[in-house]
Amino acid sequence: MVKITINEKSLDLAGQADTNLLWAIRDLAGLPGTKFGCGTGLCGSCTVHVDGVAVRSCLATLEEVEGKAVTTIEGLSDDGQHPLQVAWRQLGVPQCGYCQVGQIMQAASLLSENPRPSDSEILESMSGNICRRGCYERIVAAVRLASTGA
Amino acid sequence: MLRDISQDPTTARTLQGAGHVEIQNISRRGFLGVSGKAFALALFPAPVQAFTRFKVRGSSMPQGLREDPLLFVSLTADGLVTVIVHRSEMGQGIRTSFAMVIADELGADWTQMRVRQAPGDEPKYGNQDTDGSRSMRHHIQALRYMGAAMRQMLINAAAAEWGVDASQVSAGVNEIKSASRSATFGELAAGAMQQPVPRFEDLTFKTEEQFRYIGKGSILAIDLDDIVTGKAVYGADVALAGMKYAVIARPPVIGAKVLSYDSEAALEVPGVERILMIPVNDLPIGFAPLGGIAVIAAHTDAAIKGRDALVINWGDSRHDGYDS
Ligand code: FES
Ligand code: FES
Repeated sequence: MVKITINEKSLDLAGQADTNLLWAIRDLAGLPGTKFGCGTGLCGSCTVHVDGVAVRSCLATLEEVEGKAVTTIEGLSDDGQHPLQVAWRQLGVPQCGYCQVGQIMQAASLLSENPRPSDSEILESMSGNICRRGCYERIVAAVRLASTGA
Repeated sequence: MLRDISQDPTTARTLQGAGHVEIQNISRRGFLGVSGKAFALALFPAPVQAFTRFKVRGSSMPQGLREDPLLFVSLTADGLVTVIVHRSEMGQGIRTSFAMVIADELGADWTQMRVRQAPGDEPKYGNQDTDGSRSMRHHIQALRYMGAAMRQMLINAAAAEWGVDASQVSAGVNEIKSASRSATFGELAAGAMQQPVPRFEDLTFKTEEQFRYIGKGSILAIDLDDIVTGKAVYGADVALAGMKYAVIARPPVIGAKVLSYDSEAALEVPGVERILMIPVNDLPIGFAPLGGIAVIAAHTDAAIKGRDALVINWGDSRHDGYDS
């Protein structure tokens, strides 16, 4: 058993210190919103926050997040109205949606550090999040909309 | 995704309108060779004045094509219209499109529409292959029929309840009315679902001008809200009671068989429960399983670590000489 905090809840997970965080979140904590894409840090679909900062959960272990606050998409906003979620809906960003949770978590981390990123800062921060369906233009537009209202 | 265009040339179809246009068997390649006149007609078909049955290729796919409104559409007292979608969503928007067609032909407002994913059950739902960009081509007729049939069933239910002839009753958006009365779909839902299902030939269909959603570009994905909140359910997200997780060590080269393996270290990984060999089929593999050694565990990470701990002695494959 490893005790970690996900979405402000303290959980005893039936894993080991070296159990991968992504699979612990999905299979042990039962929070399937966080997606597996590559398992090797290349796609960003597994992005969660650790103490508010975007982290690729597929590269982290339970031991590394002990005592820290893990936030997944399920905990990003109580009512699903985070400004990014609102912008994402307004612009109809996703196609299949598989990458989008990671995109939103990455963007949320960016905006909490830098509430008014320039387009090039958006691109730089989002460049590790791959979309199989190429929704990039709408992703950038939605991050801009959430940060500036336009 | 494998797209076999040659197997599915554009469905032969008949458009009725000013003039009679018949377009047959235009494969994407064959299309280039079609005469200029036919090309113009194909791009600017005469408006569909009436909806008449056309031959649908989907009906000859394995397990055929179902078009039973009571199987695919349900109306409930809360006013919701739930459409069962039996094809797979991959971002092409099929869950949204199926609901749009039903909404338009039935006369439901978009806010009333819900979709539910069908389980894999072809004897029940008909062919469920989702490939070849053809789910909508194969189903638009069935969807329009089912939407129109449900609309007529609402009309018939209202006529029975109000003691008037069905010809005195008409349908609007979420409304069924006669000269003196009106009711919402939800109010008539239970009665409508009990009505006999009308035949295609006895129905009236909407004209293109009457569509509120089809072709208007105004509808966003029906799953949008679920996607942005992480609630959308993908295949890998389904969790069943008592479910285990498996990861398979695949042949390093297609066709290579397992000569021997040692699973001792894998079984020592915490969470690993069982190791199973899946026979490797002879070449060509085609659509048969690739085979390998499966590690079954309490969670995916244990299964991955178990697979990495397997010691497998793979045989030769006649493809050994190739390099990617
Ligand atoms: S699954 Fe973690 S980066 Fe791809
Ligand atoms: S929307 Fe499907 S991968 Fe990005």
